[in-house]
Amino acid sequence: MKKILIIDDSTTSRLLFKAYMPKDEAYEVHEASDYHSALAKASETDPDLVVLDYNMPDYNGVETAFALRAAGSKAKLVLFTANTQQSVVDAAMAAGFVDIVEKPITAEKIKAMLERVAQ
Amino acid sequence: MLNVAGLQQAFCQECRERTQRALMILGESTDPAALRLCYDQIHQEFDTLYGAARACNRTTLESFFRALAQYARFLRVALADGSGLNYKAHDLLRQGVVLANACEGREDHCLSESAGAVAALMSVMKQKMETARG
Repeated sequence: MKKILIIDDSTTSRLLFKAYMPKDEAYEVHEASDYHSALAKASETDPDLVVLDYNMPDYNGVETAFALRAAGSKAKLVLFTANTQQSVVDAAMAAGFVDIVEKPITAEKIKAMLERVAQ
Repeated sequence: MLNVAGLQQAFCQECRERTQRALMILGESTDPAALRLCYDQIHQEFDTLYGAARACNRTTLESFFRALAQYARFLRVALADGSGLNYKAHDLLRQGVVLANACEGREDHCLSESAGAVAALMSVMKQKMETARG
């Protein structure tokens, strides 16, 4: 079973992400709402894929990703963001994100992202 | 399967928490350093709510929350460069946060009762930002 960790400070966004995850696949979805809970949850679950929101309080998605890497996570990283400025895309690529998906979250976008990441 | 009722409930709960927090932050901030942090935090709260409203197809709230997020960012910049920030500019944000907070508990179209006030406020905020941009 593949383990996915969704990190987003919005309860609504996390709920939507879980609701839109394909039900015919064997995924175990975990969630965290901020930097500190993300590090704890990643350490506890060792996810295969981490999906991060960019705009979060205290530490953004890219900063959180660096911390996850520093803590030893080998998970693939995907950025979900409404902010697709070039500077954000460049920072994400430099941090080793394998995919960037523009919000709002939809079932189609999640399905397509999972297919791209699996390749 | 998406549980629409559950989603709306979660969205309303998030609205309630974030608008109340924004109101509290505004009430606590007076000196410039605290105000800069206050505008940052209010921008963050409403930017997140904007995204959540968009994901839930709540278009009126989406526009309003976006306007509040943009206006909070505008005030932060104005505070930093000393341009165009006065009590009236700050009070517009407070009025917006109060209006956003007033939507608490409404099931649908929760801004319908204050639609006129919201539209007028958004127009004034937009005008203020455009004037500042020159």
